[in-house]
Amino acid sequence: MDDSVFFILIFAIQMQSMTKNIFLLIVFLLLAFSPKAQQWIPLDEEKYLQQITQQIHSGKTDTVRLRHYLLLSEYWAQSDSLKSREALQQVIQSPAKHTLPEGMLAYYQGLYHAYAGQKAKAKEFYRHAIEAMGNDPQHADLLIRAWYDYAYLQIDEKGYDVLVKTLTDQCIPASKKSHNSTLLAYCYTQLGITFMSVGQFDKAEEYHQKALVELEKIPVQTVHLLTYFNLISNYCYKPDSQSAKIYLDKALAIIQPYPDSRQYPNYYYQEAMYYTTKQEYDQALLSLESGVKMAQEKKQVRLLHLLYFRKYNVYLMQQDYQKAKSQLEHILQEKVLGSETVNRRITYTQLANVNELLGDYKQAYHWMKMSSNLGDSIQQEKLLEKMNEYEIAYQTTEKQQKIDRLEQEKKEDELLAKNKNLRITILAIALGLSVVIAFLIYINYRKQQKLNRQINISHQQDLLHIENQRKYEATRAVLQGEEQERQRIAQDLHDSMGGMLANIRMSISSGDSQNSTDILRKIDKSIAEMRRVSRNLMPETLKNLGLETALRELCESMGQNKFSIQFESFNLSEYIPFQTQLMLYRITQEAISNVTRYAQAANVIVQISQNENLLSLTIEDDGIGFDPSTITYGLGLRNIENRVRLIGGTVDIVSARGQGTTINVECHV
Amino acid sequence: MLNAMYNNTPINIALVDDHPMILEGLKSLLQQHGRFQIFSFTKGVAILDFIQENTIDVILLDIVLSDANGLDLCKSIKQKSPSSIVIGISNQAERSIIFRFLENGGNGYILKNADAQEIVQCIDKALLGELALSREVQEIISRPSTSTFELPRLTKREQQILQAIAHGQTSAKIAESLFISVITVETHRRNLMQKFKAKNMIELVKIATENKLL
Repeated sequence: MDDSVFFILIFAIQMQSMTKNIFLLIVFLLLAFSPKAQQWIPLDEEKYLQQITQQIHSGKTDTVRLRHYLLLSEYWAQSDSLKSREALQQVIQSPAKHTLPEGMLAYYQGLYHAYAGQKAKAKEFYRHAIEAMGNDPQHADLLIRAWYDYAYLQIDEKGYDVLVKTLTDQCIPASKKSHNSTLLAYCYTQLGITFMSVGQFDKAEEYHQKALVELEKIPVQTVHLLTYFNLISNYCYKPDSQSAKIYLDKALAIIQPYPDSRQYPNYYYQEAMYYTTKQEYDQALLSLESGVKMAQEKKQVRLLHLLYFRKYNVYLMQQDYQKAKSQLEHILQEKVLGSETVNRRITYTQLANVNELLGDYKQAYHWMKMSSNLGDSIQQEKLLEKMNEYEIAYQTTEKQQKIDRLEQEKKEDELLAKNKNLRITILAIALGLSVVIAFLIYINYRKQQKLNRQINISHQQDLLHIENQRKYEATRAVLQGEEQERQRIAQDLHDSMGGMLANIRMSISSGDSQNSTDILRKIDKSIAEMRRVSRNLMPETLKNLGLETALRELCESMGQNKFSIQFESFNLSEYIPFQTQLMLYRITQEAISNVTRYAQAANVIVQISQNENLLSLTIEDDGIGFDPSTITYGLGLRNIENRVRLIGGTVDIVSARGQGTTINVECHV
Repeated sequence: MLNAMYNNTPINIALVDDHPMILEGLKSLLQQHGRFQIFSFTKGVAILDFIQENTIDVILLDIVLSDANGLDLCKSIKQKSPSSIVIGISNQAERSIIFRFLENGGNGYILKNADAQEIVQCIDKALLGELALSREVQEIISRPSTSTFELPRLTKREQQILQAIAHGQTSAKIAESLFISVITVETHRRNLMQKFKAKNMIELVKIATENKLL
């Protein structure tokens, strides 16, 4: 239990149930204004003081030295205000005091004044310290301490709610933020003790347990001891002596190595609490005596009075009301505790109670009146309400934070979902685009194909056109050839038959009858000439007896003395179109005619054969030949080519000087 | 017919020519003899109809007609009236035509530049059942055919192919080396075998080798 918060636990025996020995736990709180510096001083005080002193004398910089003066001031604040003040003066008078962080000096000044009982001054300094450090996260520890101390000083005028509010709204969040487990544990246990002060032991225990969780993270130090003390008090009030014993043992284990520690009287106080709860009153009184002795030595005035109260409590429990009464009167005489309104009121109330128990109702009324003058019980209720409100508000804040966190998570999830959706959308778009692209490619492909087809068609049309052009040219050539032929025949008829007939007519008209044989001979000649011309125009044989016979006859008739024509025919079908037959006949005619005119050949082969639907005609001579590169086609070769083209065949003319000429014609029938 | 001749009953003669002047000439020529009853036709169809109903002893048939050719007409007439004598009378002096006419059942062939006397002689000859050919026709028929070579000559291409065959090359290979189609090579192979009347390639190569064509 904190020595700065004086709780007076009184097992007040209710009037009616007193004889039945039923004890009802009533918690009275006796509050004194005592700053909180003592929990920051290590258990090994001697060593701590040595370190501070050493640093003051041999500190490397002024700042270090000044800081340790401040720590020294803190160290002495409780027990020796002169020394504390002296240390402060050292800092205040030092020219290097500006090198200290802003607000630090103010804080320690506040601390000093708080211990000195100068509340107004203390608050002023604290306020100054809070303002100065408010924006500097580097001094979060000091700031938290300043907040707490400042709030603590305000309890008297504003009630416990200030403390609860400061702890829940400022100190605890800030401690969490700065990850300072020591401070956080301290804040939790202080919050716990505040709830204990108003009798909410379960809630108090909850916060003490929170503090314990934080304490596990850090090495054993003063704050552990304080938390254990607080737990012991809480369990004693509950009452749960078994749990209290556990922490009592733990506290002893910590404090035993330091018999000179200023925390020792507090330990005795807790021990006494424990024995009281166990109703081992003698043991309790023994512990309290040890505590009183030590507190007197160490000038821990407030703790001393707390111990007195505890003694009073024990007497009360023992039903030794006289001793209890004198104990309370002793407290009032000392005035240290009694100067505080709240505590004084508790003292008055207790005096009223004890007088009532002693049967001195006049006294009891007097003290009761004194008590009621001081306090307002309704305020007490209000206080409870307010405290709970703040606590709830704190819980709500935590819940809100939790909700915020969940919302944050939800938002993150939503964001994830959004991202997912976005990805899906992007994928979908990509897919859509690919489909569109594929479609476009397909269309393009189709277009290309169409275009290709059109090109192909147009190409074919071109080919057809060229083919037609050729046919047209061939036809024209043939027509031209025919025209020439007609001219030739006309010439022929005019030259031969015309002349002959004219001659015959003249012979007859002259009446020269003896010349009849001569005339007949002339007529015969005319007829033969007519036959030649007629056959040239259209061979009757071809018409009636077919290509083979016609060609054979042609070869026979054209085979002159100059050269012989060998005619060969193989497998000629009877069903060759007449047009083809005629063309092949004409080609042969033309070729042989060429041989007659130019070739000076001795032998000619005319050979025609058919294999399935392929007709091949060869006219070959062993004449002088010609050079195809120099001789232009004036030799009727062009006529041959044109005719071949008309029947859709191919012609191949092979010749070289002295090598004869070969004309190969192939066509399909 | 012989009876008719000896019994001085007129001989029925049909003249078929699409040329009226020829018809008139022939008619006047034959009428001089008095023993012929003459019917003249300018269309092939008309004579075919006529012989259905009437008996004609001799038909003088031109080869070139406007609606038919004498070669086919001769065959038709002979089928319908085998007893009728059909003599070709034409300007066509080609041996093949003459032969074909005779093959188709013709009893004779006269060229139009024959003398009147010769024509009547031919008719009489035919009436006696002999082959009636005018003098010039006889000359044409007896002329030797120029195509009777002892050994056929080869074209250059045929020589190339035969040589390749002798070297044992396949048609495909030959086609490839001569830049011609396989079917052309096959045609040449077959032609060569026919030309030399060989039964197979080995015989063909043998004949060619013997005759120093390779």
